[in-house]
Amino acid sequence: MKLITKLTAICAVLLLLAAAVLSGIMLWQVKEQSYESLTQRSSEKLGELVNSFRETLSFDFASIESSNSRKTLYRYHFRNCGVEGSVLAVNGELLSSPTQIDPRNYLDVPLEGGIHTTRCSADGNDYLVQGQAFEWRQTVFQIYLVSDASYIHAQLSDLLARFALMALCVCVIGLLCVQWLIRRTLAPLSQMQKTTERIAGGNYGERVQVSSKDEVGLLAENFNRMATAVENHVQSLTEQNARQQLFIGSVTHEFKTPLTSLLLDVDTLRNVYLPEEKQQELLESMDDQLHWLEQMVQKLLKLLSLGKSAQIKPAPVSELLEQVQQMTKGTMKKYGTVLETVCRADTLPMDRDILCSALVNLVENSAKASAPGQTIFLRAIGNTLEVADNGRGIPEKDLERVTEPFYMCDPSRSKVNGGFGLGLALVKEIAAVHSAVLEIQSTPGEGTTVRLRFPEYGNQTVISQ
Amino acid sequence: MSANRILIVEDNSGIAKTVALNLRYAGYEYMVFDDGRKAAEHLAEDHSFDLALLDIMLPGMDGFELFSYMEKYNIPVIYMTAKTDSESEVRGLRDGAEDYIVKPFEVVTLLVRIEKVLARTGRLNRVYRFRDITLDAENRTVTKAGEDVELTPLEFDVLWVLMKNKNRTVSRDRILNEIWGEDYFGDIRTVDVRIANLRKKLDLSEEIRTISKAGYRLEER
Repeated sequence: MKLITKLTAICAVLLLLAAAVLSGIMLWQVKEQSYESLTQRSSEKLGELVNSFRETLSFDFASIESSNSRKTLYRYHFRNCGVEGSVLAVNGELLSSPTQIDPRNYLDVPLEGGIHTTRCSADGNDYLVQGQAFEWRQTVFQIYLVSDASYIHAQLSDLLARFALMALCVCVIGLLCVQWLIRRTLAPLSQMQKTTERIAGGNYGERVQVSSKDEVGLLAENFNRMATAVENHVQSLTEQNARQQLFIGSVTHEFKTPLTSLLLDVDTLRNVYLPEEKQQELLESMDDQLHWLEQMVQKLLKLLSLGKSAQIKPAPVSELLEQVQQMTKGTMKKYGTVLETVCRADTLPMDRDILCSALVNLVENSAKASAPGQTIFLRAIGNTLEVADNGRGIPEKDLERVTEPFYMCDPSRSKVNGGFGLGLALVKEIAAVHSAVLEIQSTPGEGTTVRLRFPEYGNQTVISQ
Repeated sequence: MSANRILIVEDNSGIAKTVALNLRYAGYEYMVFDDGRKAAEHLAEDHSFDLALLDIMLPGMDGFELFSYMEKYNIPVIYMTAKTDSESEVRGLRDGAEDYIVKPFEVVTLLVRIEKVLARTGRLNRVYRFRDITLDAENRTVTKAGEDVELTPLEFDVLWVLMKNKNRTVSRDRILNEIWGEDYFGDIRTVDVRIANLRKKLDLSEEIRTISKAGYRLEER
């Protein structure tokens, strides 16, 4: 059941109960009041009747001996008093003609105590019965007055009908108001529900618009915070996934070209009648492609397994730089460049072989970008390692993407240089393994500086020269 | 009618070389470029090509861009590329390329597609030569040293397949398939009989070589 239905039902029951109780109290009070006023009127009448009857007794009955005559006289005088619904009983014997009911059945009237009252009903009619007794010359007179009280009942039924109608109206109006209020209060909730539906459907950018300051508002605020967290998380996952997709796409593409070449060569060697030297030529081409593939596999494996195999421990930076210098001698010779190292750092946490390969890679990149005779700088200052050159630089549009696997600024030239477009991706990965930040600064035509900024490390000292 | 001339634009030298080699042995003339811009520049001077084989990812100018040049000179295009995603396929064919071949592919497939595109655009050279033998597929005649040679229709077809695939091994199945289509499952020995007849009638006992477990090959030494 929906919350609004539940709340409305509860309100309806409460309203009806309240209306019923209130009506009951009102009706009871009205009834009591009516009876009270009837009793009062009737008491007055009875009092007058009793007085006037007693007056007649004091004049006439002194000399009459015969009881029958006396009775006749009593009856005569009583009737002369002319009060409707009055009944006379003398010594327990009914002398006047009875009314619809015999009051003696309902009310016992002793001599003392003035006027006695009771209510009764017979044959579907309500009556108020009152009586007074007195003694006169050893004779007990009981005078009753029976008043019809049915009109009170009718009045009450009429009132009940009105009350019921009123209660119904109040209930309907009340329920409408309650429902409007509930709707108003629950509106943010239903909005949240719709929003969650959309979020569940994958639309993570949705937010709840709630301005109220109550619990619902707080809930909405917290909900929005949660949605933001989820959205960010999903986004980062999506980006990561997209990067991986891109990477796999690039790998596949890079593999397909040499594989196609190899397949074509095999196909040709098998099916085409070729002179000896052509066959040799094809075999050499296949050899080249295979080597290229093999190297690419090696580099990829390195890229993928870096994080697992790295063993990082503090090592002297000077030895690292020396190793890089040793390993790049051939490259320097090939491109006619000079490597100058500056070491103003003590130790850094590193996997020396891996870090060395990253620096060698950077130095080789610089050598390729430099003109013969230019100098390449390898510096270690504090917690930063940097390779700087005065070569041709990286165009601004490529700067952001150079660390993507297989990204080459100029595909045709890079391939001539034997690159895969994996070098900087590898360096970036190595930096990540060392928790270092990779920064690339470059101005086309002026040179490039690549920095590996290590996190602050222990009581590390900058050796000043 | 001279040999069909084909333009190859492919930046991987290994693929370009091998494709070129196969085209040459199949009797085509060709020109290779490894850069889209250079190819486009060359077209301005020389555009008498019957077909272009274009890679899509090219330095200088990509294959799609290069297509407009081909359109200008009315050269039918077959793309050969590693891009397998259907988006580029749709784009390639919507632009009006004749066909699309995805790397890696087989040489035979490429040759068949080239021939189909040439035939469809009415550029296919229908006259094949082998030494002093000339086969005219248009008129279904064969001459040797200028003299007409009488061949049965089936012998003519088998010779036609061999000459189309000069220097290339063709299996008996492929010979039958090329003659009757893919669905034909005939007795492959019928091929052996026609080959024997051809060797006799055209004096090709040396040149039509039997390659064991593979098929036959018409070798031009």
